[in-house]
Amino acid sequence: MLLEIAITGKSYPAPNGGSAPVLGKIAFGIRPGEIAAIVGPSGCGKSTLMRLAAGLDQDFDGRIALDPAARTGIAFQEPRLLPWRSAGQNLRIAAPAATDAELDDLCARFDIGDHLNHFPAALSLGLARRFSLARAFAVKPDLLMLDEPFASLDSAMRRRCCDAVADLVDARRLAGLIISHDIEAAVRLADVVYVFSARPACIIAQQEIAMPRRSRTDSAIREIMAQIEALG
Amino acid sequence: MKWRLASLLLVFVVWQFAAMATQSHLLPSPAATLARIAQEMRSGALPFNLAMTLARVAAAFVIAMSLGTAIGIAMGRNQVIDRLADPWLILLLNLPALVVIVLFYIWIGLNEVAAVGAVAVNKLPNAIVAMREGARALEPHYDELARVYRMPLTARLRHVLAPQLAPYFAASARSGLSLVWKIVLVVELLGRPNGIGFQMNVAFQLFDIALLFAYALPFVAVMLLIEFILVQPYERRVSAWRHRAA
Ligand SMILES: Nc1ncnc2c1ncn2[C@@H]1O[C@H](COP(=O)(O)OP(=O)(O)OP(=O)(O)O)[C@@H](O)[C@H]1O
Ligand SMILES: [Mg+2]
Repeated sequence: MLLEIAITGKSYPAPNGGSAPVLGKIAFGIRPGEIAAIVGPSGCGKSTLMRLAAGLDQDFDGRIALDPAARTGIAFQEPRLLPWRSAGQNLRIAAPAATDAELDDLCARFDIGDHLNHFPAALSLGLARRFSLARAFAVKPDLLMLDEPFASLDSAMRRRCCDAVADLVDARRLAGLIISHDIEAAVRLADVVYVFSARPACIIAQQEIAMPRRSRTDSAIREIMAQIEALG
Repeated sequence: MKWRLASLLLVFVVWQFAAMATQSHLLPSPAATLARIAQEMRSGALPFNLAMTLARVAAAFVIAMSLGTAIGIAMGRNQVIDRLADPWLILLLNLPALVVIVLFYIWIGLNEVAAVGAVAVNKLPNAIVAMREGARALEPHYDELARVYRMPLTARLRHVLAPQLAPYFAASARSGLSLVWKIVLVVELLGRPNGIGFQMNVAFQLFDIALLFAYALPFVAVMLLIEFILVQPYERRVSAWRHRAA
């Protein structure tokens, strides 16, 4: 297992002084080469889970084991580019070892090559998100963590980026955790989809998808989506 | 720049008229002052004293800013250090400059170390306060980013910490310079045998206003120059990303 999650609970301090539970019992693992997607209602704790998995928050009950040798490529729910460095420098700073050819290739895949000299404040939200996606791949990760990777993209661009992620994941045999409101993106990319309940979140259903990513036709995807919606 | 020059010119015009109106040796005209400056330049006294003062300003400024930055960041990031050091900081902030200067001269002696040290200690608390503010305002999101992407320490300092602290540093540097070069003159007046402050004292003893002007004017000019060609461009540069798209 690359990432092993066995959470028994996570709460945040509540405004009234008590504590408000966000995550319930959640257990699953991610094997090398496996993409897990999490779908669930807004505010159920998906981003919280990603922060825990990335080791950014140690304050929870249970156990999370992340292979210490694994490199993580993360894209937070908000693009989180360093605003004082150009978009291109943001890629460079995160991935100092990447070659120019590798970065050019990623820029072409996510269609961001024309904006390398812009400061993040001058990027549209969709562009900034594509930069944060490119950055996650630029570090040659073993494990991807993408939080709502295709939010604020129009449907054509969402499709293009989704395909780009699928190609990269297949070519590099990446493992990953993908969080998404959008069940379609989850179904296009994942080997297994976990459906979360409302807060405090726990897994209420899971759906394995055996069909190889690039052979999933639109009709197959609609069918799997219907199955998942029936589960949830 | 145009407006600044015009406003500067206006100062000289007003001065000229005032000198013409009063016709007193207590207010020498711009021309008389310039002549005196030329004289002091030729003798070498003005460049020497100006250089001494600037060297003290530079030394005190560098010491105060580097110590202040280190202490300020430590206090901003660490609660225990903050609680321990805070009373000292408040004491320093409220200690009159003159007390520090006199004590330094008495304890350390009438020498360069005491002079520069006294100026630096006067500036230090402001630098600490500014950098502590900066350290408290650091955005944790970027720190998380650096952690997940395993950025090496140097890259973190350069690309994550420094850009966030730079505006605070610039503001503190600017207010710091103006404080330092005011206090430096007092320090020189009280216990140094050279420098602009020493010459001010000489001029005062002789009641020689032209001499006073001849030293004050070039000093102010150098300070304005530093402000316009170093401090302000630096301030603009570190906040460029806020305003500029590319
Ligand atoms: N630092 C925090 N302190 C207190 N409450 C928090 C904190 N962060 C998140 N929460 C709360 O925890 C819950 C889960 O937040 P989280 O961001 O994980 O949701 P999410 O599933 O990612 O939602 P979305 O789909 O809208 O992104 C929310 O109700 C949120 O208000
Ligand atoms: Mg979220």
